[in-house]
Amino acid sequence: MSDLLLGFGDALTPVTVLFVFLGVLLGYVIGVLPGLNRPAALAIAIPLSYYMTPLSAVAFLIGIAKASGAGGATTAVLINVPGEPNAAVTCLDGYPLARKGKARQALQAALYGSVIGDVVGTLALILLARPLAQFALKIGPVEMTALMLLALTFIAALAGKSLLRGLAAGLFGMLVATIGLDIESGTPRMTFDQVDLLDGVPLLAITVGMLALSEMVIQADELFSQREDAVAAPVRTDASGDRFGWGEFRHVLPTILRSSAIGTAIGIIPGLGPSVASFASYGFAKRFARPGERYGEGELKGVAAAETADNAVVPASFIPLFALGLPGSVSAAILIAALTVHGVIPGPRLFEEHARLVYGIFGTMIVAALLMLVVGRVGLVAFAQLTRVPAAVIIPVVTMLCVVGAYLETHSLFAVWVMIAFAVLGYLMHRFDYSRVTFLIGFVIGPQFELSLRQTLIITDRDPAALLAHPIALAILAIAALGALFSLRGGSRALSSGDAA
Amino acid sequence: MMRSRASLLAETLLLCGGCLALMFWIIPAQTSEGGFGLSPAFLPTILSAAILLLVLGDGALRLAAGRAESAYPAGFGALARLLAVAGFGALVLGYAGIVASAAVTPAAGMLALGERRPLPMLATSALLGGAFWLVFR
Repeated sequence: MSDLLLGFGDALTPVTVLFVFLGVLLGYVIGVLPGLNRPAALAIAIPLSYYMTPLSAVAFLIGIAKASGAGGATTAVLINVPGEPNAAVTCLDGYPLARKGKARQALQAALYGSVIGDVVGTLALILLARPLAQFALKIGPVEMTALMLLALTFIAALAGKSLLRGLAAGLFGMLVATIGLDIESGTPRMTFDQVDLLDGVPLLAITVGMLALSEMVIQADELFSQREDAVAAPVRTDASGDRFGWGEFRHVLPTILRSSAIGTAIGIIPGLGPSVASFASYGFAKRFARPGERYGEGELKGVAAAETADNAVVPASFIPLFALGLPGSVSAAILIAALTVHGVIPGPRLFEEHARLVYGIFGTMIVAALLMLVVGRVGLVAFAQLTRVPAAVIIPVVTMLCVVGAYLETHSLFAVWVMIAFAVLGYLMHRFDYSRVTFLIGFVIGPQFELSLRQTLIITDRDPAALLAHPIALAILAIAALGALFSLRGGSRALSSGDAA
Repeated sequence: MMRSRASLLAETLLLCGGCLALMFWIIPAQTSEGGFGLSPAFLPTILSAAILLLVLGDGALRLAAGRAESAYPAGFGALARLLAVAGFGALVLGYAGIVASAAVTPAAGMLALGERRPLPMLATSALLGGAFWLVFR
C-alpha cells in the first residue's frame, strides 16, 4: 500500500507531470503529422529520454504513446488521411462529418472517446497486472517457455499476412538476440571479432532502425510515387452549429463505454493491436445501430467507437508486459527497450523489485489521460495546422533524429551503422511481407526465452516425456498449436496492420 | 503489377541458402564449444533450422497455391537516397559532431527528396542546428 501511495506521489511531482505533458504534446504533434506513426515516434523518442530518471523517461514515452493515437484522428477527420494506420476507421465517419461542417464535433467525440477509453484501459492494467504477476511467479521455466512460444505464435499469426513468415521473422529476432556472450559459458557467439557486439546487438539501434528509419524509407517511397489523393477540400473547423455539448456526449457515451471494454479486452491479447480493436469496435457499433444512424455517412458514434477502442488498447497491452515481461504490442516492446536502458527489466518480479516505480508508471498513465484531455481541448485547431507540414521536411528531420539517437546510447558510430543496417533489413522485411513487429518482439524476448529453454532442458533432462509432469505447459503448447492450425486453415488472413500494433 | 513464380522461388531459395549458410558455416565458425553446459551454438542452430523449415513451408504453400501476389510498386530509389542521407549524417557526426550533423543532415535529406527551395532548407538547418547546439554545447 505504501508503494502505491509513494508511486502515485512520484507521478504527481511537477517534474514528472512536466515530462508527461511534453510527451503528450509531442505525441499529439506526431499523431497529426502524416507519415509518422506511434512506433516510429516512440523509437526516436527513447534516446531523448536518456538523461531522465526512469519514471520521467517512461512518463514521457507513455505520453507520446497515448497522445499519438488521439492525434491521429485529426488528419483522419480533417483531410481523410489517418495520421496513424489504426485511425483509418475514423476516416469512415470523421471525414463525412467534416464535410458537413461538423469537424469540431467529430474531433471532440474522438478526444473524449480517446480519454475515456484510455482511462478504462489503464484501470484494467492497474487491477489485473499485479494479480497476474503473482500468478506468473508461481509458474516455472517450462511453463514460461511455453507461454513465450504461445505469445510469439499469436503475434506472428495476427501481426502479418502469413503465420509462417511471421514465425520466421520472430525466430529470426530471437536468433539476432543470441549474438554476444553466451549466457552460460560467457564465450563470444557470432560476434565476428567485434568488441562492440560482445554485449549483443544494441536494442535501441535495432528499434530505431527497424521502426523509425525503415518507416521513413517507406514514406519516401510513397512520396516518390506521387500519391496526391491525400489532398482534400479544406474543412471549416469553426462552423456554427458545430458544438459538442452535453446532448452529443450523452448520445455517444454508451458507445464509448462499450468500445472501451472491447479495446481493453483486445489489448490484453498479445498481437491484436489497435487496428483490430478499432475495426471490431466500429463493426460492433454498426451492427447494433439504431434506426436513423447512418454509419459511413457521418455518424458521430462511428468516430467515438473507433477512437475509444484504439486508445483503450495501449494501456491494456501493457498488462502482459508488467505481469509476465512479454510485450503484447510494439509499443510495449519499445517500452521494454526504454526500461532496459534505465536498468529495469520488466517481468513478474517487477512488482517486488520496483513496486514504487511500477505504481509511479500507473500514476503517470492516469495523469497522461487527463493531460490528453486538456492538451487536446486547447490545441484542437492549432494541431490541425500541422497537417500542412510536407513529408519532404518530416522525413529528413526524422532521419537525422534516428542517426543522432542511435549515436547517443553509446557515443559510438558503430551503433549508427547497426541502426542503418537494420533499417535496410526492416525495409526489405516490409517489402516482402515479413513482420517487423514480430521480429522486434522475438528479439526482445530472446534472452529470456533462451534462459527458460535452458532451464527447461535441465529440468526435463532433455526427455520430452518429462513434459507430462507439466500439464499447464502442455495445455499452453496445445493452445499455441491449435491457434497455429486455425490460422493456417484460415488462409493466413491478416487481421491487423501489425506494424502499427 | 504481379509477382512472378520465379520471383517467389528466388525469395525462397535465397532465404533457404541464408539459413543453410548460418547452420553449416557462420554459426560453427563464430561459436566455440563453451566447455560446460549446453553448447553456445545450440539455440542459434535450432533457430536457423526452424526458420529454414518455415521458409520452405511458406514457399511451398505459396508456389502450390499459385495465387497472384502483387509486387511492391516502388523501386529501390527511396532506400538508396535515404541510406545515403543517413550515411552522410553518420560521417558528419563522426567528424564534426552532433550539432553539425543535426544541421546538415536534414538539408541533405530535403535535397535528396527533391526540395530545391533554399529558404526551407536553410530554415530547417538553422532551427535544428540551433536547438541541438543549445542542448549539446
